[in-house]
Amino acid sequence: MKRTSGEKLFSGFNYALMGLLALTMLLPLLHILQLTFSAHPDTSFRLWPRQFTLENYRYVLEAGFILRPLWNSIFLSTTGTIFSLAMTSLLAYPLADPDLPGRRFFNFLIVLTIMINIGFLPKYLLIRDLKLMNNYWSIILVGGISSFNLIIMRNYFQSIPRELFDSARIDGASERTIMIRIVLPLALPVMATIFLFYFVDYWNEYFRIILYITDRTKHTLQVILRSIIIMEEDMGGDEIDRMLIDNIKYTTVIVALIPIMMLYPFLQRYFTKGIMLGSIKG
Amino acid sequence: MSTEPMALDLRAKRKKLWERIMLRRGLMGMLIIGMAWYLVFDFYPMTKAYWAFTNIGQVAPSKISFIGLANFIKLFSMAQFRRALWNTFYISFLKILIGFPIPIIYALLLNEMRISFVKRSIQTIIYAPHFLSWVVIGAIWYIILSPANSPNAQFFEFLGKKPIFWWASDRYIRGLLVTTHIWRNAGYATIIYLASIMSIDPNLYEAAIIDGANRWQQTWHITLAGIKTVIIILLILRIGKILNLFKQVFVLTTPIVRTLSDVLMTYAYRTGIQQMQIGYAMAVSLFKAAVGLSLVLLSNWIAKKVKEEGVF
Repeated sequence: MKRTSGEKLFSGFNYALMGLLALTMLLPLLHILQLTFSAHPDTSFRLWPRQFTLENYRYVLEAGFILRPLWNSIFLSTTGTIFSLAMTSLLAYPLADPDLPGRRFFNFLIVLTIMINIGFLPKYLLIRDLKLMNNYWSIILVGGISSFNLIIMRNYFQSIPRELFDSARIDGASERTIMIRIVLPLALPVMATIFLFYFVDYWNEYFRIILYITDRTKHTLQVILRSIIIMEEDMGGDEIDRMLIDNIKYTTVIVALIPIMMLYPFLQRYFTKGIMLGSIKG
Repeated sequence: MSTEPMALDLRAKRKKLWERIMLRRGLMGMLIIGMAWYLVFDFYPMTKAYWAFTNIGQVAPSKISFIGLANFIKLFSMAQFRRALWNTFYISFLKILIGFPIPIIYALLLNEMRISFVKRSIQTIIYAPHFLSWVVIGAIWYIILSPANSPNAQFFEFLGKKPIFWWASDRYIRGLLVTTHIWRNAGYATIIYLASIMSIDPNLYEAAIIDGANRWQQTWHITLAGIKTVIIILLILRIGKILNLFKQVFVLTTPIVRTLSDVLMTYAYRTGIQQMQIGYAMAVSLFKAAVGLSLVLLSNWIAKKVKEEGVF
């Protein structure tokens, strides 16, 4: 088909516009990335470091500013993700069974938790009464199951042919065996999706940590990063101090980004499916 | 008719229920563990909604009593609460007004792209910010827009003016909240629109071309008409969630700009967690939950109607 010159013009304009849009996402990140490798951070906008060096990272790591929070972030995210994934599949599996007594009632309860959210105050006092303050379990327990993720997983389980379950039950397999041997291998895509969703959520968590963790040694990268960024305003200090703080700021942004960037190719493979499933239900 | 068969019927039903439970006892075990978690960490806290009707937090624990609607009456007499309510609606409305059409435009433009490598690369890039935390997004834009030692400072130096401290400016804070929200979520929101554009019957386009429709007419009468229902449903659902404005504001704003950026949930956080006025803060949360629930139910109901009846 021949294209008119108007169409060609539009097409060119379209590519330019969308390219520009993509640049507004990329350039800020690239600017900060180059700052972390620059021996003389020139804070005007540029894409390539001024005199490449790894000194900034070495210094920030050695001075111990981000090593501890980094470890905390990794620890919380992995432990939390494993717990949440296990609890979610434990609940999604029975809820997907059409013959489960009271199935509609239990599903209604799950939807109710999405609809009604009376805020963090009662949960905060509950955690305080349970003596879980300053304990990572507080974060993992209050947010342990995301009802949204649960519904995505349940829908996926429902799409597995029932005959598989029935024949396994007739053969005398226990529910645990069926879940581990039959369901989980078939549900690998959804398990991977939910795993990634939980991991990103835990890694990005800020509010619950501020709420339940007052001990600074237990704070994660996100909490540290926000406090350095906000602190800037009332920072007098001399030139050296300011450069040091800027360095910590830039490197922390990049370190906080690394896991998300590493997971992103996998995330991208799955989230389209996830969002479609979620939107059908929601 | 005697009652005898009915009683038998009921007994048989009850027995059948028990049999069904026993038949699925492995499943029931799993269900109970999971639901126990929901009971303790979701439903039990929900029962504390009654705090909103007590003076808890204002008196010694031994003197706590029900005070009726006093907290709610106080709520509306507080200028700070009214301000938070207004800001919540204002910022959410601004986000919808400016932010809602953008993913639709992105989707239409992406759909026109024929070089699939470029299209996929752009998609990959514009979806990505959705997975960054508000803290990281805040950090990026605080660094770029900082009044000193930043591209922002460089820009104003070039203009020969004093740099604007955007994040501490009452004038720009709402605009920044809207812009960063779009920056983070607009790309991701195109997924649904693109998917529904894909599901439009290609024959419609061919028929339109035969009828002599140009590209604009095709876009308007086929593409946009084809996704109209999806657009309306998403808009309605979005309006239902108008009060859910918290994490972004909590992370990105400082007390300097509170007048224009304090929203219901940040206000509840301050009165509840920081000042421990539990009863009062609970009234704020409960008000938000009640209005929020009505909005969600209403919007779900309308969305369902739209889905059933197709288009308006």
